[in-house]
Formats: sequence, structure tokens, C-alpha cells
Amino acid sequence: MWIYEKKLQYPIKIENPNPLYAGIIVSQLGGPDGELGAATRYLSQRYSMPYQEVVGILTDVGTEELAHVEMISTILHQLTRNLTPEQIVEAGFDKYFVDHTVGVYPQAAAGVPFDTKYIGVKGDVFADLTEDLAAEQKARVTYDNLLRLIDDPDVREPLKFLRQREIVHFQRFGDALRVAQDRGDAKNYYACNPAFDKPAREPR
Amino acid sequence: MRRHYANGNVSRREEMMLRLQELSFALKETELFLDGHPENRRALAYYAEQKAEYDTLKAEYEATYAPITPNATENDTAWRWVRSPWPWEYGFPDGGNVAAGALDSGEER
Repeated sequence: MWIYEKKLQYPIKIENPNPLYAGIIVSQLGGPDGELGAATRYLSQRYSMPYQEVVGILTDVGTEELAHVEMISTILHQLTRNLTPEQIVEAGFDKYFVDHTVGVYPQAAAGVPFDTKYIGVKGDVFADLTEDLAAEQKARVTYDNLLRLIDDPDVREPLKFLRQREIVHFQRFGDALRVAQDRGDAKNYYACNPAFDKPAREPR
Repeated sequence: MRRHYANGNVSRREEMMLRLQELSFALKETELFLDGHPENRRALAYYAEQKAEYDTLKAEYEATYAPITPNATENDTAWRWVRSPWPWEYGFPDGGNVAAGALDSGEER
């Protein structure tokens, strides 16, 4: 189970609304490399993962991703406060507005709704962990691209924090891969899936 | 993180929240490291140190201002959980209750 904490992982206070920024940042909520996909991916991969340490990393990174979902949603909410219809049309936010008003809805920047096709749960230790490593890099690139397009420091600071977290999570999934490789059978290193072909008891 | 508030007046409450955010960041970071290095004594000691400060400050914040977790109740006469701003409303007295402008002027047309 989870317990909610009534605080953000990193402070967000955006003085100036900007629906154009909201229209692109929404991709880190519901886009192909967004935070909702990240949380769903890691938390779902836990059940077929045979190693305690790796389940710990998937649980704790996945939980942090839920805090990132809240941070991105907060940025979107604050960027769309007190807008006039003129500002909405001018920023090209009208297509989002007509369906969602200024509610926070997970979709990609191009308007495609969130889809679990963005994530992989293969039920295989190495397939899943290498997917996770790539996912963190792809999310980092998306933050790089947002930072190339956004000037407002109130928006940039939390995005820079989130970009750093992708880098740290990549390191931690590196730990996870190392743990999995150390537990592997030296004679049959990658050929079998220890979660299915050869259920292994955790050494205590 | 400091820089983020550099141009505004920071209330005691905001300052405490900021410190709580710093401490829980240290805890989160150490937690992720310990998952992959569960025997690392230095990390364990650092975690214990940060956790002690976090627990003390959280209790003080909750007694003075508002609950951070819903179970932070003590002799309360009302359910304080719903009597303080949500994290996305911090710093906005109107709660960012949105689009009043957009919707109202839309209806007038």
C-alpha cells in the first residue's frame, strides 16, 4: 500500500501562466517517456523480479515516479491558472481546452492520450532492466528538449530537478543490473530467464 | 532549491517545508542507494542521521501548521487533513482555482 504525503518532492511556484509551455510539458505526464508510464512500468515489473534488491529499486523508484507525476501535474495546473479565451487560442491551447478545460489529463504533446503501449513488462529480468535503463535516458532527453524551449526560471528549476532524477535513476538501475548479473549462472549467463525457466531461491 | 525562493519573502512555514523537502530528498536518495548496497554502513549511518532530523521537524510542522500524512492527529476537533492547502496550491491564496477568468468571460459571450 501507499501513504500520501501532503508535500511536493521539490517546490513549485510559477508566477506567470503560460499555456504554450503547458501544451508541451504535458508530454512528461502522459507521453511516451512520461512519468505516468515510468511509475506504471516499474511498479508492474516487480512481481516477476526474483531478486530482493531489484524489487526494492523498482518499488522505490516507481514510488518516486508517482511524486514526479504530481510535480508535472502541479506545473501544468499552475501554468494554466486564470487564462482568458484569447490567451488560450493564441498559445494553441484551444485543442486541449475544448476537451479538458484546464483539468490535468495525461496525454502526449501531440494530443495522443496516455497509452500503456509506451511501456514494457516482459517478465524477464534482463529484458525489463535494460528497458528501464533506456526509459530513464529517453525521459532525460525529453527534459533536455523541454529545457531547450523554455525560458521561465520558475518552470526551468523543477524541470532541471526532474532531469537530474532521470540521471540518478539510470545509475540505480545500473546497480539493479549488476545485482542481477552477479546472481546469474556463469555458464548460462543470459540464455535463461531466472524468473521463469529456473526459479531460484534468494540466498539469505 | 534555495535559489527558487530567492526573489520572494519566505515565511517560516515555507522555510520549514523547504527543509523537510531537503531532508526527504536526502532520505529518498539514500534509500535508492541502499536498495542496491544494503550492507553499506556509511549510507546506513547517514540515513539514520537524516531520518532523526526529518522526524523531529515533521512533528513540529504538523503540530504548528498542517498534517503531512493523514494520521498526524492529536486531540483534534476537526479533520485537519482537509483544512490546509494541497501541494499544488502552495503560495496561491485562491488555490489556483482556475480559469475563473476563462470560464466566466466565456459564458458572458
